[in-house]
Amino acid sequence: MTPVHPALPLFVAAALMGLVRPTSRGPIALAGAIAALTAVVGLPAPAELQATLLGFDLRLIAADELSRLFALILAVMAGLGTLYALHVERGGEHAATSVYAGASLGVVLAGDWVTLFLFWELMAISSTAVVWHGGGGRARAAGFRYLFVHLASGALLLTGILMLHATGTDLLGPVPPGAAFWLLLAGIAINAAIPPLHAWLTDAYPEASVTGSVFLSAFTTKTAVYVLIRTFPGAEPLIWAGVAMALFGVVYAVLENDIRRLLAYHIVSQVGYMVAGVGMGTALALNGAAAHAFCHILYKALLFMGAGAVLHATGRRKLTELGGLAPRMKAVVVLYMVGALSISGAPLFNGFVSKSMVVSAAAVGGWPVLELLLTLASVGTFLHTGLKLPYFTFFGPPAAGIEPRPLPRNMLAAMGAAAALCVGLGLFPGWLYARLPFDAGYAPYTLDHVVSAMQLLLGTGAAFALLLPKLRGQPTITLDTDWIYRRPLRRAAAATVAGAATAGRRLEGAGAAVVRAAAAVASDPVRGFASLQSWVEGGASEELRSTGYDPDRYRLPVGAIVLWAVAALGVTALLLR
Amino acid sequence: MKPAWGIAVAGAVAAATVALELAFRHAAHPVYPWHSMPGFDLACGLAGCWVIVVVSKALGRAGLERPEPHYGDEE
Repeated sequence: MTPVHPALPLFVAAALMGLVRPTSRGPIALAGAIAALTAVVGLPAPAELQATLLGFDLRLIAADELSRLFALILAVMAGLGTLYALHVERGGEHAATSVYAGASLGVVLAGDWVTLFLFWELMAISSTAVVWHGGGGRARAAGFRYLFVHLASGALLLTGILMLHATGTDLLGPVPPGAAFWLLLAGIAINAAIPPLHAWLTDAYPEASVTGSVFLSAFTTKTAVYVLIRTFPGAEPLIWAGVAMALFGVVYAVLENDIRRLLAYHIVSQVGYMVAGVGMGTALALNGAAAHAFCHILYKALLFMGAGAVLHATGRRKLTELGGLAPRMKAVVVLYMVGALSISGAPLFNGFVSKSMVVSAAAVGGWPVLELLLTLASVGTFLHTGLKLPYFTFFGPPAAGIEPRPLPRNMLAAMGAAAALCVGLGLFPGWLYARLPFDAGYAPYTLDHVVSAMQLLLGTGAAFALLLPKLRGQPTITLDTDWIYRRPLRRAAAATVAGAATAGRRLEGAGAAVVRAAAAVASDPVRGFASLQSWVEGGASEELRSTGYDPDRYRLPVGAIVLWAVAALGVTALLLR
Repeated sequence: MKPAWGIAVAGAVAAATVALELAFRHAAHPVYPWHSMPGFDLACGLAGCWVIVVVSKALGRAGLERPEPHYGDEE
């Protein structure tokens, strides 16, 4: 039986957005997400779906265990995100998030590079639309920066894909060494947010709408992790890139004041564990990377939902403007803390069962420094997401004039569902482990793992209490690598355009002066030469300048150019007939 | 829960984890020496947190942190 592509219902839901009443848009998007999840669960084994496009044989679905695992969590995430956004009546945003989620399913189910590329680009475009739905100048500017970076990622990927195609390789699999290896790695590294190619993430995610940023937190980086697992397992540079990511995010989170940007830096940090896992390339490490991506999608969405709930209720997004919300947002506090304990790797929560896999893989694989540095990053995660953000948002000194408005029930329901999944996976990790693609046994709930995790959290908590005054938010922003294209590159581009325009104007002016002089001479050679002589001796005479010559008179009007273009098109059409 | 109670509970749990480590040393399967050092992760959390905050704040002072709005011209 031919399987239904799970992206299809999401695309159909997106197409319907313009045709239905605003109040029906959320439910239709949710129905699309549920249908997509049903299609993922119902994928036969083995699942194959092929098509032909421009002479390329596309394998739209070639699903193995790795694809299925990612498709499952991405479809679940589409459902959770849409439930959170159920009250939203902006059809454009629902369409963008549905296409974005569908395209990510297309990436993880693709069997060949061209199919992957097509869905990859669809993700870039639809996620840019998600950013733009944040509204306002900041979202628009951040969306453009986001789009340009992702178009660069697509261009690198396409070049690498064409080079592979030239060698006869079209199917997805580990990439052989060579130029294509580095091009593809760079293209995927951009989407995985590996520093210094990460700034698009922390720049754009906090500018999206409350509901849009929940979607953004899940799809792009995790599909990149999936592609890395499939095509770059054991690529050693990724080990250290992963560690750099894990620590980089932590350092920046110390300085961050915007709650959603703080969480965005922790996406970079957490994806670092997955990237390091891919770099190690052992069965345990790859399973760890896949499991951590699975768990990360749930708890990070929950955290973004929590931060979004605060923003929705108060209209404030900065730690310096928040505080003391706990008594009036009890449910949000509890649900947010489930996400915070999950990301921090607290036992009984899902982060513990996946993060400890990656750290253990570093220990047993013979990377002691890696193990210690990942442990250090873990400390930073609990410090910010589990202590600093909730303390200064919910528990610290109350902010003046803050009056939270009630939240739509669907937002709380989505948070509740995400929290239940975080706890469920933490309590029953066997369900997840049975679905992991590689053959490696792992037991999370051993005495040393649990004791180690508890001690790490308690030590961090003690240090937090001691350092509390230093950790208060500051009304500052932190310079990151996006500074390069927001300041010097932007100014260089503006200067180049202005310089070219000035040079063009001067060149045209000089040419026109020559033609004007020549016109005067040609119209009356005797008088003209006399004037020209006096001009050479002492500057242009009034007579030479006022010949009435106007260069615009001799320019072709735009209408004529359009006429020629239409004629050329007509002739071409006739010839091609 | 009052702060004093919180500190007491956290201290008790920390002490319990160290006691468990000492009691079940024979059952542990260390790969590196620090896996068998009682209280290593406690110290790691404490010192690691301090290092992260001090280093990050120093980087912030060294020029990473700027007053808002820094990119004001585009907003």
